[in-house]
Amino acid sequence: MGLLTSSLLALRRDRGLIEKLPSYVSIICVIIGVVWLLLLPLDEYSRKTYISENALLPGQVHTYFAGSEQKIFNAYKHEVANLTGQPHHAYEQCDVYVFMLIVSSVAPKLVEILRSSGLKVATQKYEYVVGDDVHQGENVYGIIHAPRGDATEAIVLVTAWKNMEEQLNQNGVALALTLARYFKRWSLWSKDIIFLISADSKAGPQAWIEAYHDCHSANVESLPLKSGALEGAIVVDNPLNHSFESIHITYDGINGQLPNLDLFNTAVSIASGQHGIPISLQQMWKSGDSYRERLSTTFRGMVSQGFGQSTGPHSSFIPYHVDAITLKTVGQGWQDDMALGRVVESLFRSLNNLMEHFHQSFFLYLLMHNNRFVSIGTYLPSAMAVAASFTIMALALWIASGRPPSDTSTASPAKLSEGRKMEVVSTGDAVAVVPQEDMRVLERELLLPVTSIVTLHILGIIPFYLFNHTNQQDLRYVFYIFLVVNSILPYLVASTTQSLAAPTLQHKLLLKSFSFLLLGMFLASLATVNFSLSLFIGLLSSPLLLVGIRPVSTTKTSWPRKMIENLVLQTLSPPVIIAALCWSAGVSVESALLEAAFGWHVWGVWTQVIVWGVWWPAWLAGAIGVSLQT
Amino acid sequence: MRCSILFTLLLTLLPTSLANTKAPHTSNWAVLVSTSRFWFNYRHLANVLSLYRTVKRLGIPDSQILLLLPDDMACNPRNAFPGTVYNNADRALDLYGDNIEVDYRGYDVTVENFIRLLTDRWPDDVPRSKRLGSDEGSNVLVYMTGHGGNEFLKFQDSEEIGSWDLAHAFAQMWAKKRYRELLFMIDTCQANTMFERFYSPNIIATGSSGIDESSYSHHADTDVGVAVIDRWTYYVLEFLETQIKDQQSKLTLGDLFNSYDEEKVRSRPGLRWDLFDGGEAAGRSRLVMDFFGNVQGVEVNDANTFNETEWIQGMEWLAQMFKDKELDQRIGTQDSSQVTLTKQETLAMAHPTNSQTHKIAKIMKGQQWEQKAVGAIALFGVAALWVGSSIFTRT
Amino acid sequence: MGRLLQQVLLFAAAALLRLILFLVFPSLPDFFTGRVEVSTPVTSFKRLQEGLFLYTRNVSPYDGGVFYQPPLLLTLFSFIPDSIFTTVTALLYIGLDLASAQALIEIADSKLSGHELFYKSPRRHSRWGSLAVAAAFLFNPLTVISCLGRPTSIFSNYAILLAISKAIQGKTGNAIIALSMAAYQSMYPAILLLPLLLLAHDVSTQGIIGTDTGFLVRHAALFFGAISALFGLSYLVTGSWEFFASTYGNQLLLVDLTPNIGLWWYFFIEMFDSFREFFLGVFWLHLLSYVGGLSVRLRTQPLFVTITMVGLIAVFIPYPSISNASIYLGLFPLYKHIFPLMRTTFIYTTALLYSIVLGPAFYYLWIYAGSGNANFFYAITLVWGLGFSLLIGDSIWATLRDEWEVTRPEMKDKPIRQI
Repeated sequence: MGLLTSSLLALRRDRGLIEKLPSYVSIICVIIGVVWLLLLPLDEYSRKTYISENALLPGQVHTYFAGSEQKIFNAYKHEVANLTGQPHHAYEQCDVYVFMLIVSSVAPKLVEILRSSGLKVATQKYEYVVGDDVHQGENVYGIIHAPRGDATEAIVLVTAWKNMEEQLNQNGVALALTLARYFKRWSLWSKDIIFLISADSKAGPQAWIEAYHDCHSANVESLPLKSGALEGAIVVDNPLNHSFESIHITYDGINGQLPNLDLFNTAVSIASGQHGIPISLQQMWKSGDSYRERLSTTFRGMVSQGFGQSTGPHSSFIPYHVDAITLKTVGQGWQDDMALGRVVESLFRSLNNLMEHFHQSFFLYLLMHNNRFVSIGTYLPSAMAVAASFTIMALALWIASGRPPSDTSTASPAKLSEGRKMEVVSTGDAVAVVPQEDMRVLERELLLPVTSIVTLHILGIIPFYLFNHTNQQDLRYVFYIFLVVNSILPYLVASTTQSLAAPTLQHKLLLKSFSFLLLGMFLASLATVNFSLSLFIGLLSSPLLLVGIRPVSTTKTSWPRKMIENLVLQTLSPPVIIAALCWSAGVSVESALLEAAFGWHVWGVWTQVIVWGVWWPAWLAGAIGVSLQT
Repeated sequence: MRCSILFTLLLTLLPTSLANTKAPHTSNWAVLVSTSRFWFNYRHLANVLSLYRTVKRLGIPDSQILLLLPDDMACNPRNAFPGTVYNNADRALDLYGDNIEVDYRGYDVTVENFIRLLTDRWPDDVPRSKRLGSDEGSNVLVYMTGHGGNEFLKFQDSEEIGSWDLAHAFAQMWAKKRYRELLFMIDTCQANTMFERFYSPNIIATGSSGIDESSYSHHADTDVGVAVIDRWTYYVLEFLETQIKDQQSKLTLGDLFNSYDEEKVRSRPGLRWDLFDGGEAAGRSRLVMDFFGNVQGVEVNDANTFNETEWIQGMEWLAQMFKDKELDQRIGTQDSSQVTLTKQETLAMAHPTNSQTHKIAKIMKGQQWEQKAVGAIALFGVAALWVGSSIFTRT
Repeated sequence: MGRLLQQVLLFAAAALLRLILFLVFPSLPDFFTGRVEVSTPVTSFKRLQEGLFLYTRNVSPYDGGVFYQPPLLLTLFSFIPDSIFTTVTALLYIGLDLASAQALIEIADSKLSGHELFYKSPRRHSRWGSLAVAAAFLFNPLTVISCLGRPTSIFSNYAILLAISKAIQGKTGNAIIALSMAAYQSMYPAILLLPLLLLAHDVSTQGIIGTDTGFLVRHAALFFGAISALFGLSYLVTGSWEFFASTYGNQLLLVDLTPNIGLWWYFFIEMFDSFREFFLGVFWLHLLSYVGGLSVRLRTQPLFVTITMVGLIAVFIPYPSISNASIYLGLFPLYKHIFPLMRTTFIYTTALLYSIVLGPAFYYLWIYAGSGNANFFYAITLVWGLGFSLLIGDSIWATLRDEWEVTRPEMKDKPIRQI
């Protein structure tokens, strides 16, 4: 103990080290965070998936969806093809108005088909307006009431008329119609089964699930027909007009929320275990199980989770605590539509076995292969280490801000102890002589830094509002103007502040300290809700830990260093990163922003709030700190 | 003097305690318990129902079988074959076919009820059909199945019975002379741990698996969609059904236990003989029918045991009951005459006056001004308190 | 005059901020009303409305176990016409915040913090202006959120501040009545009786050394008389004594276990029934035990004791909310002079900030996302409680140190270490 305190005191005396140490520690934290993530795909850290919920009994039933159902399926396929009015390949070229016409004739026909199978059927019109974009359509859904059930629970089979890539989900819809007819004949359902045919994959399911829970806005019709609590939803997306090779499972929900792992595991176990259909996820079409492929799958999953956007019709269900996944057929192979039907049949038999909500297995996990995952306890430290680096730095800067400035920052300890008032400090049996000024604490002037930080965070409302309420055609210009303004903003603010308030070094340190404190705090909280977003923002902000940190030295930063710092900051500014991401993904900035605005208005995606309310202010504070002369 | 009394007491006690070692075998009882509910535990109910069917076939009457079923698989909406329970994928035999008497079902199957049942600690109003009426001449078969672990067995996902609980319950049964010999069978994970704590005499115990071992299901029916029977129970039943052809079977428990095949059962079934009078040798020589069947032949009560006073008391009680019933009927007729007499009164009762109405009427906004007045007075009082206190300060 | 103008501007800005939030985001008040951090079972505005509905329909508001607040509040709110209920309540709560700020200004103006009758801190000249203190209270996000969430604890907050300010001004009777109203409304302010009496005593005896026991007894009697009168009026209004069991009974016995930011609910959910009474006793005694100790040890600084008790109440009562924290954080800047003596400011500030952000996140994970559970949220309420008690502990330490320097002036500003 005595040794420890005296060495701590020695540390305190050595200014060079104590100024650099927090930087080192926080950078080490960031490195630990990254390395931790890279270790996850190893066998020692990830686990094999397993089914926790005993009731599910995946793949224990024989499936009978075959034979005569094939003929019915073919018939429905023709019906659906007739509804499109034209062959599949030409359909993609028709414009929106023609499409709306088609859709308006589709709904009554679907109603008729479902009704003829003996279901109770209803429709729901919806309309969302984002900027000047109108998203409207009509959902059709039918309910099979469980013959011996109590109508308190329901499971949903969703097929979207158009899938996420705007392809016509012809076979998917035909399959749903066939299954509706087929399921109606069974007597063993303990839950109602709802067949939802939504007009599209983005707004339609959202409108339906909102209305199902009475959370809808005025432009979305209420549902005339309802059943009990939804226990799960399966989306079938089968746009292929040929037999497929494997099933691609999408599971990310809005805001990066995930369905219970048991649902995913059940689907995998039924499709690959019972029916021998390969499974792929996160667009890894050839799913190997090597380290690289695991890492790549994890990374893709994290990117998708970080954006928080919808990845399929199932995404809209997850915020309502309805566990859901999308099954999408991919590739050219020898699996036919009936095989997909049997997978769905078996899945529904498993869901039918459920006694209550999915709750046994994990809700927070990263999948790295279709039978390998890491749970939150294993991966969370990675984001927490990154978040902690900011808190450590904040603490260090806080301590530094309380020290009186000295003029010799690089002085040796021996020199320091000369000609100063000394203080005898004894702790237990340890006695140390310390310069008095080292023990003194400056009074901190908090008002300016606190107001600035609060103002910076409130300023985030401006870009947030701009990007969510600008018309489509102006969006691009608004973005580029913002990009330019944003790049000169720190210098502007810095020089204005300098002329108005004459900030001291302490102000600067406190500004950075509070900024890091808030950033670390938000990231730590965010990590529990959306791990990936927290980690990415943390990593993108981590250079802030290094730039402009020279707490006590009054010597001017050398200009090359300053140049580099500014360059780094400019490349890592949120709008630049957004532009770079769009460029690398090959989408226009305009469409990406439009999608994000749609996400905020329709799905309630919080990513933009985090970007403009957490990341951008932190970046701005860092950039201002660099350009602030003291 | 005192010594001599003690001595005589000892003398009188000695022969009874000696005689107590084994009363003649007079009856057979079976307690068949499934402890789990939910559709995916179909097999546990099938286990019990299979055994129920077997002991009935071998001659134990329904009145001496206590069947505890926490769930109703036959009527579960998930059952593809409504109204049936099968223990084999060939679905040759519907266990639920006809004549099933379930004594405790649903949430009545609790640890408390089970222990009360064994020890017969019931209030007087519990009917005979829900009681275990065994006595010192009864051989009792206790079969349990469900989900368990090391020295415990779960009851319905909400509670559990421990091995000591069970051991004490059996000890109490022995003390209360509620069995002559007891065969305890259990099919659950780590089943053998459940009978390790037994300490009362004349118990033979057998279980499906040792410590840290799981008991597995035998096979699933792909149409029903669940496992239909557990392995150990399956092979016990196979023996009982194929080897015990009729009630005259002379096969012994030894034969039954020798039929255990660890390869097939995929766990190590356990046995316990040490409590049994005569140990393993005596236990093994017990006939299977001693526990699974009924006592052959007729027992004639010894004329000396006939208790005259009890009989007279019983008759008197009956006579009293008839008298009471007659009295009740007379009162009933009197009541009806009264009703006709005071019709107006009853009418008044059926249509209560207005003053009573608003207790059950729809909640309406009350007399606002009255309430407001009282409220104003109260608030004025508070204000007065405030003003008054200002004065208090000045003085 | 300049100062008056400043105050008017400050109050106008604070009122405007709240009005804007009420008017521009009409869903915000309802959102905060539903938050467990703002509304507890005994202060919830929604429950008050429920009670009001029953009360105006001549049904006992205490039927159904939803409403746990005293009857006179109902009487007050029943005079607000339904048609303008939302507007009037909004204005009422804004008014209460401003009145609280006014009381705070009066407390600050007295300069009694650090300069009490029997104690002069060597640092007493380092202080914030009264308006700065009021501004820190009015623009504290916790205060604003509390105002929007409209919990009835705002009433007792105001009554407590009023009691302190009246006691300082020597209007002892008013102070006692204000405290009795606070105690009537939420019971726990009764804990403040002793320090407040001492404060009033010191002010009214003006420097005469020694304690006038007669004064204390007289005013304690006034307190109990006043509170009995309030009970009587309540009886008059409801026509029965059942409000006792519902309001104070619920607080004492913790009948409603709705989660809140306090430390009790989780503990008593997990508790075996046989230990319940014992631990209820322990928890209440724990809170009560601070009064005596602090009042004796810091006899010369009754204002500090009162304020510290307000802080301890915010942590240790059965149903605390952020409005309890906001009143303590409003009073705390009065002690600016001990700030330099406080040692671990950063740590508990961080802890408090973290828990403010993580609390709602974990509540969301537990209730909405379903991926967390009650332990998550409780862990954060523990951090919150820890941060708050560290703050209070540190402030007590700093005060003791300050006091020590009076006797040892040569040690001023010297670092102190435990030897």
